[in-house]
Amino acid sequence: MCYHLRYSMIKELILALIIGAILGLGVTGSYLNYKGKRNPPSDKPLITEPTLIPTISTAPAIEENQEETNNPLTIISPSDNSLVSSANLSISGTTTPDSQIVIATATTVFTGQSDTKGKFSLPIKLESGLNIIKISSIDPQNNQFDYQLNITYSTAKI
Amino acid sequence: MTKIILLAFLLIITKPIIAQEASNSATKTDDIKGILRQIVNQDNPTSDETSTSDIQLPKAFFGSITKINTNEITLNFQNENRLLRIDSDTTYADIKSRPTKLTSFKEGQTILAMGIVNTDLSMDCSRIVATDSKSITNTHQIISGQIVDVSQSQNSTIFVLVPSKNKNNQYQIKIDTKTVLTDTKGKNLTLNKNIISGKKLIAVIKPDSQIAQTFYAVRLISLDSETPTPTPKP
Repeated sequence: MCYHLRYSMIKELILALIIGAILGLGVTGSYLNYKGKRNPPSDKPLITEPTLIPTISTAPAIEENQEETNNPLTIISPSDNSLVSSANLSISGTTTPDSQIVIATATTVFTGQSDTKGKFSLPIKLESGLNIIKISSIDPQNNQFDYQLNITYSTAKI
Repeated sequence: MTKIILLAFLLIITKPIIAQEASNSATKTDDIKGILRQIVNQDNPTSDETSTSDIQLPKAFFGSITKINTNEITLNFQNENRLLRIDSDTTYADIKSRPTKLTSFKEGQTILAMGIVNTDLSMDCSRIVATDSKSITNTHQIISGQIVDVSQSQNSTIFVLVPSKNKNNQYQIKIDTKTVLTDTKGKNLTLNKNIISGKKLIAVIKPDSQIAQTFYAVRLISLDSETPTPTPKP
């Protein structure tokens, strides 16, 4: 009888331990699952951000452009050091609105005006070879802005 | 009974672990895809910039030769060295535009190089012309300012212009019958009546060949015509 009692106690003890373990692990597992859903794995890329930043070489160019923005007179076409095959050329650009535009080549002077938005386009005539073109805009308040272009006119096949 | 409990225990424990691994692997795949996309995008913008710039357009550089050999010329252009690539197709002209050979060019000589600019900013030269630097100057100056003094002589009129850009400076400007004076709309104006003290104008001038420190006015544009006429008050 004593043996039977001891066997029964051991059986109950093992059962209690298993149930306790199951309950404990179940609660822990549920907690970890809940925590995993609340804090999902971070979306950080494997390559860190600094490697994707543009190279340093572009930074000075931005500074140069910022310096140039002080002069409202900009030439859109043609670009500096262009080579053209026709003597007749149109200089177009932007400046302050309603400004007087004066373009001087080595031999001739051309004049015009910018529109209310500051846009202008003036036909000029080039000499053969390299032309140093001086462009000025004078606004209604007498503020003068200058620009210089080098344009080569040649009919030689390039 | 014990076996059933153990089986239930295993099912409870393994479920969240499997779910976690699946989401991790999906995130990692997305990360790798994102990295590949970033690498591809990093490579592409350079080609876009190249297409929008002046590269591959005909250009002309004027400067002096600093180094010359049978394949290349180094040109000092606007205080920068530019590499000019030359080949058997490159043509050469002397100062009078007569055909010549590469051997006639020397270090220190000023040239006008024409060709196509490459992505490395070197130029594939099609034509090289010997050029006299004195011949390619533009002596014209464009000055906006106000007349402060006018003096008449028998043949010409000389006036003093103070530029609006630098009021400490003065230009002594000569005009004659060839000088053209217009208003801002391009309408011709009489010189004698309009060149008076206090008048604001734009002067396109060049150094006078006869009188030292004096400029000759090629073109004058009167700015005063733009001044609005005040409306009388009632």
